[in-house]
Amino acid sequence: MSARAVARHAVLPGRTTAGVPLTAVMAIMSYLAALALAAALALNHATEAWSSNLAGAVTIQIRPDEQMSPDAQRDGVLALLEGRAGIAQARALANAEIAQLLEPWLGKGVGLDGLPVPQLIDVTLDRGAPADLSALGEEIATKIPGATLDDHRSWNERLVRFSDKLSGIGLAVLAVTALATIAIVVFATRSGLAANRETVEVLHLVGAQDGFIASQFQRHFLILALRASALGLGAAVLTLLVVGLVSEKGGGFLPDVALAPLDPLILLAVPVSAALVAMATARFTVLDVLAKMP
Amino acid sequence: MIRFENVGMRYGMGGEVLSDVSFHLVPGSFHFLTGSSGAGKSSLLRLMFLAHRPSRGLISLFGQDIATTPRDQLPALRRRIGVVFQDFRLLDHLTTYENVALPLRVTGVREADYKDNVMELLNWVGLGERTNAKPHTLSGGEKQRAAIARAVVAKPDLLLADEPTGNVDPEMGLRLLRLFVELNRLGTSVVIATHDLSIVEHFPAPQLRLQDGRLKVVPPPRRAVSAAPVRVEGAS
Repeated sequence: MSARAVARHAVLPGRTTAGVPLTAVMAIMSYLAALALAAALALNHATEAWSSNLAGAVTIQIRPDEQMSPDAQRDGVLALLEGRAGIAQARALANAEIAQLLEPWLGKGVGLDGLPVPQLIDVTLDRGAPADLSALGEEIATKIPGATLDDHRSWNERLVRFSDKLSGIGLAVLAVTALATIAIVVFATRSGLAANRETVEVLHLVGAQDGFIASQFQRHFLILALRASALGLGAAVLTLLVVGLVSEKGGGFLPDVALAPLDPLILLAVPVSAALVAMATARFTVLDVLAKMP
Repeated sequence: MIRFENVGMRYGMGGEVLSDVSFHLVPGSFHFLTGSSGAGKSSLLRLMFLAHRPSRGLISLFGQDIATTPRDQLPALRRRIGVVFQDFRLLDHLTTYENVALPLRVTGVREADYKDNVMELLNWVGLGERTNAKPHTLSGGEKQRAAIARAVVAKPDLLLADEPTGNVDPEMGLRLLRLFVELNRLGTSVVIATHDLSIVEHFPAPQLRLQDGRLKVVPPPRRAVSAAPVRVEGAS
């Protein structure tokens, strides 16, 4: 029997703190943090894609005008654009395409006949050497009554601002989650110290350095946080997969809001960060408490 | 080794439980710390093993004034002191072997380097067959011996024992006392707090006698059953 004697137990009891409730709370925190980070990443990608698409295209809108017939307006614009430097392609949208664009507002199956719907010319710019849009806009407005050039700049700027705000909210959720995690770990560590006061005092009196005692607590919280945040991340990934499966693809004008292939690797930062935050918090909390002992 | 000069101690805002305590213990000495219940024996021991700070006065331990010793150097002093607590204070989640090895483990010594010594010590105190037992399965005497083994495993320069015979029968009490005497012969200074005067009468050691928080050094009784090496320098 004696030959088998080995030090196999941790110096601190395994259940240093309320393990299951604490694991659950930290898993939820990690779940929220992972979702917030995923949302911020996806929004960032969507905004970049949208901005990139809009930067390579302009739209010419032709409103009905008494001075020219609709066909003459459209042909006039196309003629101005044909062969012009900086223009890769110009195409008038068919009524069916315009109806599809208006579908979110007017509903399906609504005929455009009799409605003062403007004609649209979709212009693709030469990305290598795009046309001078302000000069082009002035020329079109001058020569073709009712025609205006929309370079989407206003839309794009508003979109970027909106997206930035949403990303900021995501990052704020991340920060709040981190702060809440720190507060929870501080509370749990102090509870753990109180629950193990006898053990800590014995360790202290047999000559353990504060760092040794703190290392026992930090290891406990490192493992607990890694387990909990891995659970939270797993649940978040499942949620994202389900949302991805059931959500309708954006298509058309709006790009899809989705994660990039490498984003899951960035999400791995959630459990790693949670574990490091928990470990550091536990260490500093224990050292702070021990510093008050004789 | 230990010098107290006009030491006073109080808990919180209460009155002094120790007043103007002065004494000097030399290396290799053996003392009993006596006094009635509530006289301040445990409080004096707490000061000696650095679990409490004095309210006033000077305490010098191993040549270092503890008031000016940096906090991060106190563990090194504590490692030179073995303590047998009155209530044993064994850690319930650890085995007997792990409890006894604890003072070595916290210093970062590899288990391979201390395992044989711990096993030898456990055999010496009669716990060789109880190495994997948890404290709650041990008898009072076995806990006592485990606590003593933990106190001496790191070969301390000073051994402090608080009522080490209080939970065992008289025969076991005398055996444990002989164990302390043996340690003292090997060079460890020993201070044993007890209110059991029958134990004190068996060993010709001087007493640090506490009464109403004040201490005086009492020479060993003339009629002693056995001889224990005693070197003392003390003043009340």
